[in-house]
Amino acid sequence: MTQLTTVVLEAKDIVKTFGEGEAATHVLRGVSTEIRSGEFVALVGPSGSGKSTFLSIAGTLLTPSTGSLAIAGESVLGRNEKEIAEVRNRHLGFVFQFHHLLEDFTAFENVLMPVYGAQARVSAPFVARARRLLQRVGLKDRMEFPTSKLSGGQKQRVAVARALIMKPEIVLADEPTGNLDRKSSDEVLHLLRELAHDEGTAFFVSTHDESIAMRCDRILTMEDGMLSSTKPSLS
Amino acid sequence: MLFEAKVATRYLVSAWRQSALLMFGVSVGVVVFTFIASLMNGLSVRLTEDITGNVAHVTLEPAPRLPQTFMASPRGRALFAIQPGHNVMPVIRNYRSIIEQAARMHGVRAVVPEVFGNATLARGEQTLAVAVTGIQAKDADVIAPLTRSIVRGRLDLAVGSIVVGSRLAAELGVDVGDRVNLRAANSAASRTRSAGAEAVMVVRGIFTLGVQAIDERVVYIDLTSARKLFDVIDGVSMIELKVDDVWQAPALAERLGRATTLRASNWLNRNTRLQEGLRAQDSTANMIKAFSLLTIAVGVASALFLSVSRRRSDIGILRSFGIGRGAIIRTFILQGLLIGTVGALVGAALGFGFAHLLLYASMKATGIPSIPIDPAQGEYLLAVLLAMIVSGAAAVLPARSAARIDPLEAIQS
Ligand SMILES: Nc1ncnc2c1ncn2[C@@H]1O[C@H](COP(=O)(O)OP(=O)(O)O)[C@@H](O)[C@H]1O
Ligand SMILES: [Mg+2]
Repeated sequence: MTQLTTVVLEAKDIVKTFGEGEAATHVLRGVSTEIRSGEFVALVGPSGSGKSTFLSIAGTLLTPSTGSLAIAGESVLGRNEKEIAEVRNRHLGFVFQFHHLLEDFTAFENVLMPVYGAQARVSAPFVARARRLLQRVGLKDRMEFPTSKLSGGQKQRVAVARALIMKPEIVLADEPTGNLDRKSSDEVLHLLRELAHDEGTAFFVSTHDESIAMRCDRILTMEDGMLSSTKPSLS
Repeated sequence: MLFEAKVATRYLVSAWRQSALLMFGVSVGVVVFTFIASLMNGLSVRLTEDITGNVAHVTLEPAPRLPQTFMASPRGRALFAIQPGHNVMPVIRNYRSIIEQAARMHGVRAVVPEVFGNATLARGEQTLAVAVTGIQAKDADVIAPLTRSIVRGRLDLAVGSIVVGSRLAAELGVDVGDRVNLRAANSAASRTRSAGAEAVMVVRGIFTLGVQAIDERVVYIDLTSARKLFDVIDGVSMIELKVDDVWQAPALAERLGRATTLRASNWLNRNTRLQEGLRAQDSTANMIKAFSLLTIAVGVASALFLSVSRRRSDIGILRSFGIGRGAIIRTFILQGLLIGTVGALVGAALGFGFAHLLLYASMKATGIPSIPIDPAQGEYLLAVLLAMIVSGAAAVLPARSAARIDPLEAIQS
């Protein structure tokens, strides 16, 4: 961990309020954080505390009420939709609680889907990278499998490979193991940790899982819409 | 377009049962379209041919000579020198140059000079009013297919021969070989009782054209005999034309009328009912065609709306990693176009086969089909193009609803 110098995600005073007046829900009340390249950061907190909301805003899928957000050094608020889509395509990767694979495509095709956001025809280096990533997540023999024939853990590993195909600066993962059993969950977490190291990609992972917290570089705790404490773990 | 093509085809292939059913639906619409087109076009061609085959397409006659005003009275009344309808038989004297002129015109197939007049045909006590058409033997088949319509005897237009319609023959009780007495009515000759006003003729042929007005009233004789009968020394009473394209007849008639100062009429003037009928038939056909296209549109749109709602999660995740709204829209419109194209091509082929099947199934021993369907006039290209356009257009609404899906909502639900 020698090059923790570049800030890949910077959120400042993010406020998010749903609804108006009496019915308003103040979900985020001024959240600020910085994540550096290659960092593995856990986001913990009770259910309903605003973790998913914050990850969605960090991933530009949701607009904050106020505050500012910069990804890979570029401010994204106020940009038009096309530019934001480009930011997501080039700098961000997503893993969700549910794998959201396209069931009509093979594992290999799923991994390559994000490439179409950048090029009309998938170029050879990406094809090679998709193979390497699938091999890396342990699905070398399952590349041409229809997605529907994979197990839950395998699907989530395909989703991880897909999140990494564009070499994003940061992967946002919202409870990526929430739907998996203990064993698969451990495998996936182990994988994320390794990939963060190998690829130099930052991971921002929300979780209920204590074991993630044990293995990360930093833990952010969300409580009542505030990132109330930041404490390093003992990995 | 690679992404769009890849996703669109994959979606169609993986739900191949629905896709096949949908394409079949489109092809049924196209079959209806092409079937109606071949039936209605075949029908109007047959109706038109039935009429235009037996009559002149353009007729040139001397302009009716309006009675001369004898004197204008101070109260605005006029006194006619001649009563209308009782003047001498109007004649085209310069018919040779007019025939030449007409024959040179583009689209004119044949020009036939005729001497025409009213007469009575008598056999024994029985007398009937007839319309005499004097025609050169070589022109006998030009206006109506007389030779083909002869049911007894033959088409003999030598001097002294007469060919009559079957209804007339029956009414008069004459057969081939019988003698009849032909007397000009209302002509200069009949009034002056000149030698030509009456002639004894031998019935040489009896025809059935299938047009009642002709079969019960018209008789044919040689042009020279008719001239004598009606005391037309030189000239003819009308010039009849056949043209290549019957729908060009009105235009040709107008040009001839202007060029010759004769009164030019065309077959459509005498068949306004047909025109109205054809127009009504046309709009009915268009309505059925429009409904068949509407069915295609509704089918494609509803199927794609269903597909969009099934793929919400896919669309959400694709949008989350930066696939644009445009690509999503194009993907679904392409699905509509693919369904439309395959369905339309299959439908056109089925429609073509179906029309042929019907044609042969309805073929009678005579070789004339009872259903006037014309498989060649199914408007297949138009049907395919319209079905494709309609399918693509019907996909626009579902495609736009797909593009409006909020990625976050689709992912979290
Ligand atoms: N679109 C929304 N409209 C209204 N309230 C919302 C919306 N999204 C989330 N919330 C509320 O925000 C709060 C935080 O939700 P979330 O970020 O999902 O929490 P966590 O992921 O930590 O469980 C919850 O109380 C939830 O009801
Ligand atoms: Mg959550």
